[in-house]
Amino acid sequence: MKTFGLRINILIVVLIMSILAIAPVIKDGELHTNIQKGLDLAGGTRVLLKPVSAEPIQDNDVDKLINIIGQRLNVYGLRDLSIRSSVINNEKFVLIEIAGASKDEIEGLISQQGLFEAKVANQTVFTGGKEIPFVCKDDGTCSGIRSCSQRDAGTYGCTFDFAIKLSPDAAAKFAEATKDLDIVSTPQGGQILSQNIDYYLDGNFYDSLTIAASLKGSASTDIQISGPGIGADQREAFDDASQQMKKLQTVLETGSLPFKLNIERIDSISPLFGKSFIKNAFITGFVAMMGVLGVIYIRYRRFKIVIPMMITLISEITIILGFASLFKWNLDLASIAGIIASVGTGVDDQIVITDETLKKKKEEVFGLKEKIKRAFFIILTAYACTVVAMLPLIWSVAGLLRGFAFTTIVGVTFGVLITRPAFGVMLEKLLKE
Amino acid sequence: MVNWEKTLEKNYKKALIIPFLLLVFGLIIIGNHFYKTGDLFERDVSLKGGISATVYKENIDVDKLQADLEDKLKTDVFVRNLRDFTGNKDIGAIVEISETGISDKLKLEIENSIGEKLTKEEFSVEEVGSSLGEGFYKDLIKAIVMAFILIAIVVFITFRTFVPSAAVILSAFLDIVTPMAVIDLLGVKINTAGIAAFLLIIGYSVDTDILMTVKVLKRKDGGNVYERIIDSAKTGLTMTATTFIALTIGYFITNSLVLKQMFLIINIALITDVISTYFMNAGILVWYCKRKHKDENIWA
Repeated sequence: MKTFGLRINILIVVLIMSILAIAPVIKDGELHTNIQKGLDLAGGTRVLLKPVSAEPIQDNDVDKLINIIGQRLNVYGLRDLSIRSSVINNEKFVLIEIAGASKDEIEGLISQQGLFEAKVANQTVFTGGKEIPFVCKDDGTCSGIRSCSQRDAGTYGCTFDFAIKLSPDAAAKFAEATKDLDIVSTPQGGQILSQNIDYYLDGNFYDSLTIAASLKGSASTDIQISGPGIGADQREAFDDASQQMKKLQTVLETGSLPFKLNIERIDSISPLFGKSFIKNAFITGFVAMMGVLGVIYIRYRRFKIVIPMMITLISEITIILGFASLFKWNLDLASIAGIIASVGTGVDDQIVITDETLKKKKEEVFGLKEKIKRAFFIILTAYACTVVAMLPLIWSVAGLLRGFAFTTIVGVTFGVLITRPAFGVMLEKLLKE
Repeated sequence: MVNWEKTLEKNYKKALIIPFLLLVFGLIIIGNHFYKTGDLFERDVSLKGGISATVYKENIDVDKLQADLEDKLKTDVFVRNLRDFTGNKDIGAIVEISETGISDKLKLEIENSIGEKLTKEEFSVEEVGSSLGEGFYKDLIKAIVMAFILIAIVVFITFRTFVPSAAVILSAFLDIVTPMAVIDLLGVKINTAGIAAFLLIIGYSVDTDILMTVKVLKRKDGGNVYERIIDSAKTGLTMTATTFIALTIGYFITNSLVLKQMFLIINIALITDVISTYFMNAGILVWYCKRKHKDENIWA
């Protein structure tokens, strides 16, 4: 009987490991665990982008693109994000998921290719990215919102500016472009050059600054960048300006994307649903389990069967959650559906095992091992079918249902390897008594 | 007590009529839907493109919201209540439109209609480009076909005989056709997760068929064919009953519309599976055994 003890021991060890991985603690009256909630439960933004290009897009182009988008979002200050490439119906896409960011922020950051150009007298002197080794951010001495004023009735405007440093090459170009310009006087009495420096973003005029006369022909690496923000009142204008500034700083630092991107899908999910869903899921799960056990009781009329089944069900859920915590995968709504699916097959398998075991009582022809083997032939075939049915989903629809497929596969695998054999043994022992 | 073995022996041929009619009607309904709309079933925003917005505000007047939005946006608007059965109250509303690119405007009009500003937390929005929705749809249909082929391979490897394997596959096919036809009749719009439910059906459906086929063909004991089928039906129906109960409870209690739809589709499939397994697959197995295993002890 030692081998059967082993099966239960394995279950206990795996269960303890799972609980340690989940690490549930109650802090300030709230339950905290290591389970990471996916986007649709935690709230956040999900964007599916399609790179647009006349030429065919290669895999390494997409990698480069993902790299720059990642940098851009990171520089912007968004850290809790996942970016991956995906293929839908033979077309390449990029899927970005960001916890807790708003739709507007993301939209602005990635819908722009971010090709920044500074021109003097229609001659490009520098662009974003490599030619700008330093961008001043979050430092009031060299970046900030300088002035706000009413533009028209109902429109306020604020101006931001920040300092950047140019690479020596770009500085040389600046010197070249400014050396032949005339010096003119401003009405206030200042001395400036006859041409402004104009900033363009993705080919659109963005802002224009005057150039101090002292900079004429000098290979200066210190440059001011400025831009406007507008709003219905001063506060809105101020917020807009600070957001615009942050975006522009990000674009300048990371350079432009190799492709224009079309936003094909954008989801902005409130964390409210997740909160009510999780509470609801616990109740639903509990009531559904009682329903299942009720059916089992009606069929077998024995608590000796109902109780190991309940233990097995709870074990399977715990192990899946433990696995998810250990590998830090995000549990989303689809994964919850996967848990339901795998626990469902668990109940099915346990019924098969129960019926085979009970039959043994009548027909003593077969040994115990033979009985379990017979049950497991059915279970393994059914297992193979569930797994292959889920496989296509892993690569399908940009992996949006990957959580579902993956959780189901992991759940049924643990079930077949650990919990269901242990159930067979528990049942044996209980029925023997 | 009904003698189920005798009942099966007498009626297995007649019983085949029911799944046959179900299959024919199912295919007619789906065919008709396909002919009229060009689609196997109605797709929701996630598979067709459009905007789906969720407003988390209690007690929204959905009829007023729908009328207001249709008036302002000049497009078809579909509004549903979002109910929480555990608290037994409305927790919000879901608004769907087939246009894209107007989510800001949609939010504004919703705010105008309910007369309140919505915070970031109170408003979720999903926007799917129509070409993307189309891509998703095609991808998922491919996934279903792929899963079907893979399962057929597993089943054929397991049983290595044509008729019993084909019967299992046919049963899975009927389990997909019938829920799809019912969904068409009910006018339910299928979302991405709904299609995942169809994939699960394929996996679930074959369980009871495999159980029965193993008991009939792969066992040396267990009485005659009828006894074996009835024996497997006891196990199989318990399996179906537990899943059915769990999903029915889930359907009524869950506050996730995504899960609700999955549960609905799987439950229709479970009911169908009883017919496809015990009225069709059982009949085919009896007929197959009569032809192939005339002298063996399965007739004892």
